[in-house]
Order: sequence, then structure tokens, then C-alpha cells
Amino acid sequence: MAEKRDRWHSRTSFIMAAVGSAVGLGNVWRFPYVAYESGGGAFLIPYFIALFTAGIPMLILEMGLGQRLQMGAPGVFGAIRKSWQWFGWWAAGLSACIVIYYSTILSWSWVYLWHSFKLAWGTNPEQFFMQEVLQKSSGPAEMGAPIWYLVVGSILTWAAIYIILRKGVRNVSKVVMITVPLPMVLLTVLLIRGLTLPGAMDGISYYLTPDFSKLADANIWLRAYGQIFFSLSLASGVMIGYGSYLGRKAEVTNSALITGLANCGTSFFAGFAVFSMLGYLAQVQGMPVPDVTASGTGLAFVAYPTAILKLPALSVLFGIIFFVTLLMLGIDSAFALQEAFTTGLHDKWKIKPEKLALGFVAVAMPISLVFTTHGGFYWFDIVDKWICDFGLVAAGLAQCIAVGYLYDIHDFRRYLNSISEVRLGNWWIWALRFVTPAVLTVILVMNVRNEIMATYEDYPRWATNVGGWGTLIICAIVSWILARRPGKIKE
Amino acid sequence: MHISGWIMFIFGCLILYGGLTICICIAKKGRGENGDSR
Repeated sequence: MAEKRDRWHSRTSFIMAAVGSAVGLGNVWRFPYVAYESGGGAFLIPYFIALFTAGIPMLILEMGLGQRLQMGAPGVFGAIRKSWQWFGWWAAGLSACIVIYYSTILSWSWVYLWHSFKLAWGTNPEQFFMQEVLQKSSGPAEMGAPIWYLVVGSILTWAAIYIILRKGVRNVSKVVMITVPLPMVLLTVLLIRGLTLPGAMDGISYYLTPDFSKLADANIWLRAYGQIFFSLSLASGVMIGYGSYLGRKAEVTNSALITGLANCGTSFFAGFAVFSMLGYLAQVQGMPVPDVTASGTGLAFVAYPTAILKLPALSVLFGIIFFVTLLMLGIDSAFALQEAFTTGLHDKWKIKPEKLALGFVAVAMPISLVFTTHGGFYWFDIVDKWICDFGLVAAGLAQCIAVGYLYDIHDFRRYLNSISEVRLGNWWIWALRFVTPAVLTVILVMNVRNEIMATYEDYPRWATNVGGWGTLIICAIVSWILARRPGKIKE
Repeated sequence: MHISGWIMFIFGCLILYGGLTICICIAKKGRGENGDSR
């Protein structure tokens, strides 16, 4: 008798899990900065157009494929064309690679949570981050040994991922009821604190005041599509995997709409929490807002902690709240990435969730220790850049081509309309066949061109070849091997 | 903040939170929790 597939506890828990996967650190540390740099409030125009012409169509595609075929990415692409199972493993493999280095960001967050109790970053948070936390070496060649407290943070992260995933999506259904709403509540607390500080409106003014002249720059539109693409966990097998645990009559289209709007709504909201605090920091330091504005790790581990230190009261509390928020935002993205890969293993070899969770963590955790070394930050930077700018973009492009041209997409649209609350028109097919592939092609070509013209961040070529192209090649080889191994990929 | 910033704020809220509200209302009126037809 065929083993019954694991199911989400409810539609709500599926949507929460999908939102949890999509909403991550980038919603806080990347979107607000990109918007600010790209015309402020005017950026919302290309951003929403990208959401509705690429982001949501692809969400519907991925969730729908998983739901219809009841398999993760390897099985789904193997069903489209037998020889494409390899591609499904490639997409899911990228997720596996991402979670390996993503765990390191969570490790930093654990360390900063610890340091929040004494606001240990002091008056020179940049030096604190680079020299005391990362103990950064001079370059990627000087790896050094793993730093013990980052290893502890890494262990905590992997232990959490194992505990959450060992009982499959039924357990995930419960966990996301905490890990998704809690950071929203905490962001609200940070927002209220931010808005009540002097200088807050000045910061928000920089975030939101539109500069419509920027819309004439094609790069701004590409940036919007790129931001949507990466923000929604697309092309990584996550949404296909999560969709595969939906019931055979489960709704897809409206769930995808809710996921996309909730993700972007969180980004928009987070921008106010970030820029109100940056506005305050600028006022306190007597500097213009642009001079204190930062993104990525510079925001999370330097600028925001600086602002927290200068709060008039309860700095320790707000420091704890901020880093707990980062941890909650990151953890459900992390286990979604792992699940994207282990779903493929489960589909093909019927390995139980407990063994999958343990096996994956046992392999991934030692590898992730590379990123806890003195040179680890450089390798994290390189691997992340290559996986995102080349791997995921290529995966997204191939996915659109596979479904748009090799699969009966008209029949797929009819199928989705038969189970969904919101009807899809032909615009969805045009979005997947033309708009999204065109944009992804331009992004990919530009990324390749930029890399040829100048090495990323002036890293030595050997480092980007090993860490960047090397990671993608290893991922491709492993994917090919997994695809060739015999197993039962069909349910 | 300049009025244009407020306009973009309202625009963003309408699209995102207005759209989300509509979709959630459709979901509540639509199919059952586990995807079964009503």
C-alpha cells in the first residue's frame, strides 16, 4: 500500500509556511535600502509591476506544480521531461547550498543576541562586528580556524532546524504559527519605538518621498524584478516542495496571491521600522540620513545596533527584540530551504523525515563551519553572490522555459482554475512565457557581463572561481548523480 | 514629509494591505480549510 503523503495541518499553516519562507532577513535589510536608493516611494511602481507580472505568476506556477504533481522539484521536472529531473535536483540543490551559508547569518544573530544583554558593540560597532565577532582575516586565502562562539551559534541553528523538520510538515505547521507572526509583532514594537523618536519622520521621508525621474532608468526596473525574484524564494524548489504537501483539491492561486502580498507588505512595513531608526540615528549624530543609511550586514550588525545603543531608554530590551526578530525571520526561511532538498530525497527514496533531517544536518553542519572561520565572511559573500546572481536566475529562467514551452501550460491553467478561488486569465501565461524569461535573461546577461568586466568586490579570481563557479559546478554534478540514481520518483 | 511621500504611502498600503484583505476575504468565503469544495 502506498505511503500516504504528509499534509499541512490546514490551508492557513501552508500559507504561513510559504510566507515564513519568503519573509526573511532581506525583507528588513535589503528592500528598504533598495527602495531608498531607487527613487524612494516611486520604486513602489516597478516593484508592484514586477510582483504582478513575475513574482505572483511564478508563485502560482511553483505552488501549482507541487500541488498538481504531489512531488518536490526533482519529481516535478522529471515528470515534465524525464531528462529534466536533473534540473529539479539542481534547483533544490541550490537551496541546500543556501541553507548551509544562511545558517552562518543566524549564527551571527545568536551571537549578537547574547551581546545585546550588555550592548557589547559599544561605540564602534563596525569594528566590533569585523574584529571581535567575525575576527575577519585579510582575505579569502587566510581561512584560519572556526571561531568557537560562531560554531555554538551554528550548532544552535542546525539543532533548531533538525527539531523542526524531524517530524515533517505536520510539525512545521505548528512551528510557523510562532515563527511567522512573532517577528511581525516585534517589528511593530520596533516601528512604534522608531516613530516616537526625534528624527524619525526625516528618515521615513528619505524612504518614501518619490523621485519619479529614476523610473526612466532601466536598471531600476531590473532591480525591482530582482528584488521580487529573490524576496519570494522563487526558483529554489521551496514553493514546489511546500505545494506538494497540499491536498489534491487544495486552492493554489489565492494562496499564492496572499503569500506574495504578505511578503511585500512585510518589506514595506519593515522599511518604516528601519528608516525611523536611521532618521533618529542621523539626528543624534548630527549627520544627514544618507550618511547613516546601510543595508545587509552593515544595517543589521552596525547601523541598527548603533541606533539601539543611543536610545533614550530600554536599549537592552530593544536590542534583544531586534535580534530575536532577525532569528525568527531567518529560521523559517532556513528550514524551508532544507525542506526543498529533502522533499526530493523523500520522493525518490521514501526516506522518513526524521532520517532526512538528521542526515542532512549531519552533512551540512560540518560544511557550514567553513563560514565560521576567520576568512569565512569572504567565502559567504562569494558563494551567496554566485548562487543568487547566476544559479537562481538561471534556474528561474529554465523553469519558465520548461513550464511555458515544454509543459501544456494551457491545460495547467485550466487545472488551476478548476481548484482555485481566483481565476487566472491568459495574462498568467504571457507573464511566464515572455515577461519573466525576458527579464531574467537580461539580469543574467548583465550579471555575467559585470563579472567578466571586473571581479566581484575585487576578490582574487581564484577565490571567485573556487567559491563561486566551483559551488555551482559541484551542485550541477551532485544533481546529475542524484538524477541518475535509480529510485521511485513518482508517487 | 512631502505630500508626495504621503501619497506613495497610501498607494503602497492600498495595493498591499487592501489587496491582502480582499484575498483573505475571498479565502474565507471560498473553499474549506483543507481544500475541499464547499
